[in-house]
Amino acid sequence: MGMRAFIIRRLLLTIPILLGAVLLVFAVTQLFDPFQRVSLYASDITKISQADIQSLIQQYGLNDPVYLQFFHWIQQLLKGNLGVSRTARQPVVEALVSRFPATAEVVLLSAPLIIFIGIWLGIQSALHRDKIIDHITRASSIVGYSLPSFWLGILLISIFSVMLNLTPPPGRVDTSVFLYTEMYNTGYVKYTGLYTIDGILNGQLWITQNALGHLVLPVTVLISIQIALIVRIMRSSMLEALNKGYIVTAKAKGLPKKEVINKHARRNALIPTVTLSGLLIAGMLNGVVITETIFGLNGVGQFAANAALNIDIAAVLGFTLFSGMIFIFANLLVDISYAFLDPRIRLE
Amino acid sequence: MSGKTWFQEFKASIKPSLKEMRFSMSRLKDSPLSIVGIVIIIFFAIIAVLAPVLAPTNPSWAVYQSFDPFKIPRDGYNPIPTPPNDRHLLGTTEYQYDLYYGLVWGTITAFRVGLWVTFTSLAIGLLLGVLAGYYGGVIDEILMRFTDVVIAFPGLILAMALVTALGVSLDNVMLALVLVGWPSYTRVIRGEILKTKQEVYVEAAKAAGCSDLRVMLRHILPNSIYPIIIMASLDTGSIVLAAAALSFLGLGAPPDYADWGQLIARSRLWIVADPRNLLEFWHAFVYPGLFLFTFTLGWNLLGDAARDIMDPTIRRR
Amino acid sequence: MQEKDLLTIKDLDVNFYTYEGVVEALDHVNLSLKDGETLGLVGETGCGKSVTSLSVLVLVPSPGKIQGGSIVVNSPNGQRDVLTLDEAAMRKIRGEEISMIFQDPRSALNPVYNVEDQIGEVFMQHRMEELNEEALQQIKKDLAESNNAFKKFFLRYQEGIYAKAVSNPKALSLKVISRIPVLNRYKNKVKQEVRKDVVRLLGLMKIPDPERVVDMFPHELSGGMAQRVVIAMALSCNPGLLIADEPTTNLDVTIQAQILILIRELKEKFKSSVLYITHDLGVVAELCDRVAVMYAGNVAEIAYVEELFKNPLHPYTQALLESIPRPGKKFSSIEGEVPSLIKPPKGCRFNPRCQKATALCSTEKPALVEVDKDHFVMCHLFR
Repeated sequence: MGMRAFIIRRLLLTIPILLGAVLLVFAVTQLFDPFQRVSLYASDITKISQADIQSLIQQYGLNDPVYLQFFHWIQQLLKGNLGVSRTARQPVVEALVSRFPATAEVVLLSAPLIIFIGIWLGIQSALHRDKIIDHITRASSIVGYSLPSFWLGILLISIFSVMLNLTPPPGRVDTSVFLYTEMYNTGYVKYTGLYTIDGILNGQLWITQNALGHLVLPVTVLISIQIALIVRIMRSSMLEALNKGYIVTAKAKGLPKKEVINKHARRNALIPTVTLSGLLIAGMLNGVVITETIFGLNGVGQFAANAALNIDIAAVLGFTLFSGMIFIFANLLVDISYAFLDPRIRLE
Repeated sequence: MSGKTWFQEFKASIKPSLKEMRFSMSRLKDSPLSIVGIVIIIFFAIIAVLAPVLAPTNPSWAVYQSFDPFKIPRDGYNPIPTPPNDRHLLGTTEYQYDLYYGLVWGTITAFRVGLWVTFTSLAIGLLLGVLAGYYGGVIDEILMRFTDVVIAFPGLILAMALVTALGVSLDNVMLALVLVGWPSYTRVIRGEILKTKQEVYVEAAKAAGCSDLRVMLRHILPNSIYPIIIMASLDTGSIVLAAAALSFLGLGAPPDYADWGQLIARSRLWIVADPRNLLEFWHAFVYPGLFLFTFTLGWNLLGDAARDIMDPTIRRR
Repeated sequence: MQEKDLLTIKDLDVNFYTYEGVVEALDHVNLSLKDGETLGLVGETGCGKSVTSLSVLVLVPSPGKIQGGSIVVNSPNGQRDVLTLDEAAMRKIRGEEISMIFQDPRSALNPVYNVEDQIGEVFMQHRMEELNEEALQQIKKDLAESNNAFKKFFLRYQEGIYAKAVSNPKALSLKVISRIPVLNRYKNKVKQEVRKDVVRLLGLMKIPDPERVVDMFPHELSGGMAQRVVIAMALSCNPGLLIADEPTTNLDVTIQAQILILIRELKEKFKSSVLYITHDLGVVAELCDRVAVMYAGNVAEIAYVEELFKNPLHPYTQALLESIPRPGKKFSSIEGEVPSLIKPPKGCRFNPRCQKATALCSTEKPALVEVDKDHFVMCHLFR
């Protein structure tokens, strides 16, 4: 009953945050000078010449007072124009969309693993507190959290790909797959842009296998870094839940231990964990930038890192705005799940 | 009044706190991981303090002399890293920058980045958080909207954009990290203050006539402080990692600067290239990474230990 | 111990191993409860009343450990020492033969599940076979009456499953199907039955509008309502012994009265024996048949309520009754403080505060002896 009202309320709350985010990105654009900002408004990279730059500056009032510029910029934004990327030689929106499936692939594979393995490990740690498994779990998750992701990635590549030849070299797929899907006329249809799924949908399982092989190391890196967060919060909230009165009640009712832990304690322990999964998502978004760069996955993260290096303003800011939107949306989902788990929240 | 002296009364009044402190110490001793963390940090602190002694600036073989001790001396222009030998204790990285020097002075850089960013974010967060929490109302609303907006972006990505805008340098990286980091502290402190504000003893203090400032300092802050301490020590590690990541991407310290992330970037090419040469160049890659990892590990262990010890809900179990 | 004793606690020893030392919480506690009677357990905070009650269900939390003694329960399944049973057997007893209601109803209820869930749990745990059979009967009836082909299909599906559940509840196929999302809808049949039972039970608890309350969450209930829900949970499977650990202490005085009246009615209706723990002698006078007085981990005196009030024998009991404020009487209290149980006083634990203490009292521990008929005292003054 309170659920629908809660969702609506939460959706309404998102609007000012979205506006604020847009404002923040705009504020960052103002840190650049007008010549640099031209790329934010150009829609066709081939037509940029000195004269064009001047006319663009005129047209979009890049020398005008701030509020006018904001107006122009919002206009462009609403038209779906994030500017043109110098490094990709295409409009930013196009560049992001075409590279998004690669990012989605690695994130969709890592996130559930982090969540489920993390929750399970956290519970086991709490149940066997101060015993060997607890110490090992906590120690390894701290170690994972302390490892520089870029260093770990390179280390794994050098050991498993270069030295032992167990995993394929960086890249999303082997050249053979690339030729098959892009070059030759094989009737391969790109349903989603994710090789793992498209491989299945096209009936070419070897493609899926190939893609998965390439994903092993990047996913390992992402998991090692992020899992500590989940394990730690799950462990402490589980310990807290197990100390509560309703656990004694549950035992006094004669419920088996498994049910007491899974039904009563775990559900309560999941609440703080879900609350913190916002941080997890942020970590993943941060993580993909580095991971994609190292493993050559050609996703939006790698694109952004490259763009930043080359001071491709439109691309960097476009990506920032884009990831901000994703993050805001993800947090919305997290809050709704939170209300789903904890009935007390629905009243607020 | 009883016939006790001032000193006897003082001793009596701090007895419970002493007892708690002794309990904290015993918990600390029981947790080997936290001792490891402390030892690690002390180890690095010693290196940082003794840097000028351990790695004197401008050695004889340096190609040119520089006044800035953070510029790593180079011994030639050959792009291929040299393995450890008599001249270079840990070998050199790309373009003959001495690795040992870079690692030692990089320790100072690490401390500088980690502590400065953390303290500045904490200071800003403390100021704004206290304002928002204690006074509430419009100030609170505005500040919260502000923090909401900044937090709406994943940290590293926003920092990347800021560095691109401000210009590539380690100082700008630190600035960007502060700009991205202050909202978290603000929120936590504000939350703690809101929680403590409602406690009965605060009302009692106010009823007894304590001024706002006194209430804040003596009653609210001491009880709100421990989650911030935990947060700060955990953060220091992440900040150093984030700065290293940005340096690695080429957005931070310049190529000859004594920064661990930079050193790792220098070694990247040589590790993934040719299996035969792998072992030859590992020194350039492994040592900086180990330093970075161990440093961060120390802070994370400390933060974890601090949480286990200070959080009253899990303290006595 | 007599034949009609429902519960007999003999020489119960419980220690808590803490950082500060070993707390000797219970020291040779002896108690017995007759079938159908209400035994009050009174004492100051920290005297061990709750620990005793938790021991009966073998639910003493760590760092506590039951060190010795026996707790014999006389149940329909025979006479058993609860401390010798394994976990599985104990689980059958908890909630079904012996159940417990707690001091703070808000924390006793799980905030994320509604009332139907939490009370229904007890039914599902202990009455599964009957529920399955009833469901099967219901399905058979529905099948006979139904004409709709679709419905018949679903009903046959459910019939099959319930038949299996009745004949072989631990079947692997059942375990598998119960986890598959759409297929495990068959459980709804049983849940409907359970819901009806829960609503009826809430009605017995004098909860108004039970149909609505059943869907509520604990934070939506008032203190009194929450406590009624807890009592409902405890009485749902008709336990022979109900342990009530200060159920009204956290409630408003007016609600207290209501709950007490409710408990009195319910124990008649459900024919339960009650072990009622409280620090309030007034409640004892109202509700209990017999009463045991505890002090610092020992049972000081046990007697029928009237007898105790008329003729208290143990110095502690006398002091306790003396200290009840009465108009016209001067305010009196017991000198001294409850001792720390880490290094409890030698001999009789009350001796430091006892006006009538002798030299023997600080060296030798007295035994619980029957001084008058059904009047036991643990004191050297009575041998």
